[in-house]
Amino acid sequence: MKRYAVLHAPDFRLQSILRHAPHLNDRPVALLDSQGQKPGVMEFNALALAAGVEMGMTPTQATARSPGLQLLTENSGHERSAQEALLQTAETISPFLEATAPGIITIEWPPEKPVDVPWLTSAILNPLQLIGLAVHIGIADNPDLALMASRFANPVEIVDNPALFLDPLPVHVLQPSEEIRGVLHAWGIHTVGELTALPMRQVCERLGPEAVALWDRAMGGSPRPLDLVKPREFFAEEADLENPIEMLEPLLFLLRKFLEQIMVRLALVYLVAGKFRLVLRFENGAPYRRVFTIPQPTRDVNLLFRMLHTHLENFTSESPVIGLELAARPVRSSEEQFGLLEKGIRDPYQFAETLARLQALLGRDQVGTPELEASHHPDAVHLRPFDVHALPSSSDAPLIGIPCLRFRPVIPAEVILEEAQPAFLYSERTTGPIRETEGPWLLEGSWWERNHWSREEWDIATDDGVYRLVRTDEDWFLDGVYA
Amino acid sequence: MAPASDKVLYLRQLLAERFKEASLPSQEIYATGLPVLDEIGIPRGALTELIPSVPRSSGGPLLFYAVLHAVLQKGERAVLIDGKNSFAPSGISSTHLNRLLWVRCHRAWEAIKAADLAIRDGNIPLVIILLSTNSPGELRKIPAPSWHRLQLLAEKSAVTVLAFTPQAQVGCARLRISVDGDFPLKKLHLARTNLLPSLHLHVARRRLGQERSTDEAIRRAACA
Repeated sequence: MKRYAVLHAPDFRLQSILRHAPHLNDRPVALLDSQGQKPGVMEFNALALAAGVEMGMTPTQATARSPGLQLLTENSGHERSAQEALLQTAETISPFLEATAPGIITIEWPPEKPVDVPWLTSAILNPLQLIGLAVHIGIADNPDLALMASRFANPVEIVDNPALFLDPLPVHVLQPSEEIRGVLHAWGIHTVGELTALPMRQVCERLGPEAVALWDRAMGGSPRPLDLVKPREFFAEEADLENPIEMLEPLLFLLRKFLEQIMVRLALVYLVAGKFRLVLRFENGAPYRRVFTIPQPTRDVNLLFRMLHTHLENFTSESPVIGLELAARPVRSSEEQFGLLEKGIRDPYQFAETLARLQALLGRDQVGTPELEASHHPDAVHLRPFDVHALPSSSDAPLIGIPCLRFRPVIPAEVILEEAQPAFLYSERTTGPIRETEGPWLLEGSWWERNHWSREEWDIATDDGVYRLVRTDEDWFLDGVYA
Repeated sequence: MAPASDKVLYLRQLLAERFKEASLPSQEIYATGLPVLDEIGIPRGALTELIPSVPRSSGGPLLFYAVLHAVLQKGERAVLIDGKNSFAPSGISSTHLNRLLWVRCHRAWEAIKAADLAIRDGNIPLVIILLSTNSPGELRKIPAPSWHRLQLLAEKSAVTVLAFTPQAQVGCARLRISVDGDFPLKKLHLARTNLLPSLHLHVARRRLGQERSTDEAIRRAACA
């Protein structure tokens, strides 16, 4: 028979915020519901409860009860991250998951997994505790009963006998309507056991069709199919900021916290970060997105933080940051052994940082490995990111002639022709008679496209050197120097 | 020459301990794979300057492409700091380009800053600074201490630095090689292997590591 487990994070919205604010752990804290017309206390911690804070109190009432009370508002970014973390931890148990509600995950329990408190503590409770989430676990034969068990768990409730578990519970856990609750109260029925002791048929006749469903729940409910979900591929932490960030330091502080959380989550599933995606949202304008490729996948917070720091040192924006997301793409950690004669990069992290600094100095499109394009244009080349793992090639083609050093941009020139041959050159680089010429070589390409090009190339020798001279339409220019 | 006194020997030892990077043995040779250069011996962890013997055509670009090709062909990685964005990748066999990091600069000062970062990093054992097409006026504006810093960084990180300049520029270079050759138009289209024997390299200056170390250490001590 199938079994189900429910992970239930009580006060989930508050927990999702507090996991990023450990300094509030020893203070009374309450979360306000800002959706309604009047903000009221929605969730609070044990210290606030001890001080007399109650559900639904206005901020004024709550702070009157507890003067040191820290009032917080909801943060949907933190909630999404925490829900994702719950799902990813649950996935280590089983791939059949349902995101039942915020802070509630239902798992179809695999038969091969043990169901005992020590195992559940080490496999679920402790890992989630590390990422700042306290959960209760309910295990039963159907999802609804498991959910009910999780609400009364401390922190684990395993229901082997539904009647034994349900009988002492107050009848309101079955969620009857106000009307039925009133009738049951009038009958003197206060617990589930008292309800199920009554004859079912007569109860249903008197209370109507709703009582049938109520009775079913009172008997432990029946199995239902799960609405399966799959956790995202990325391990992400995100936040919507109450106070926009204008300076680098607070942004780095938050990112460091995010990194630490993500690395703990990755460690729980024995993965390492292969890539990073940073998203910054601003008050005005489009969000900034950047993907970082990690030279050697790792979980080292300091190394990864240095990478972010180096990049953000040179980053500026016109408006302050109001939200951020940091997501890691997990990969399996791999052991690499170089070949006998192959030489690797000594410190790939340092090298990645150097590349980032070079890109910051010169621009991202100015640093990389050259790659020739499939074109006959003499200067058809682009840069692609440098690959530290690129292997040397043994093949080699014979090289012909002296390659030139190009002038970029080209140097405009004036040329005097004699018998259709360049005879005298005026240019910023060199001026004088042309002693020897070879050419012309006529080149043309992309004639079927808008960026059609054609050029006439000459190799010329002056008193000053050997140059490549090019004519396009009626313009002459020096394209490079050979020697 | 009279033998150094005990005090001088003690002073040398003291300086060597205090300024370790200034007293690194630097007689190691970096093998480029290009016989014409390897015969001279390019010092590892030092700055070598390559200049044309005369301002006019003497094969500087040919040597530059040849050494880069030889290094990449050996399976080494190299950083090319291109001072005027003048490198033409078609001059190297395309199968070897994947081991080359091309850093495209547009001004000499950018090239010096980029070289500083690449040498300091130390992960890639060869850094080539190509300044052949930068104007002499621009190069003269590079302060001598900048070159000196690159030299010290190269020693510290054991990176071999080849600087191609249009004229003698790097006062602190451990080795200066002048490149000579005659390459008229008609030779432009010969096979590269047939052209290389026409290159003639001469050592214009060689500074020994130990001498430099002592000089350097004494100069530093004086400054301190």
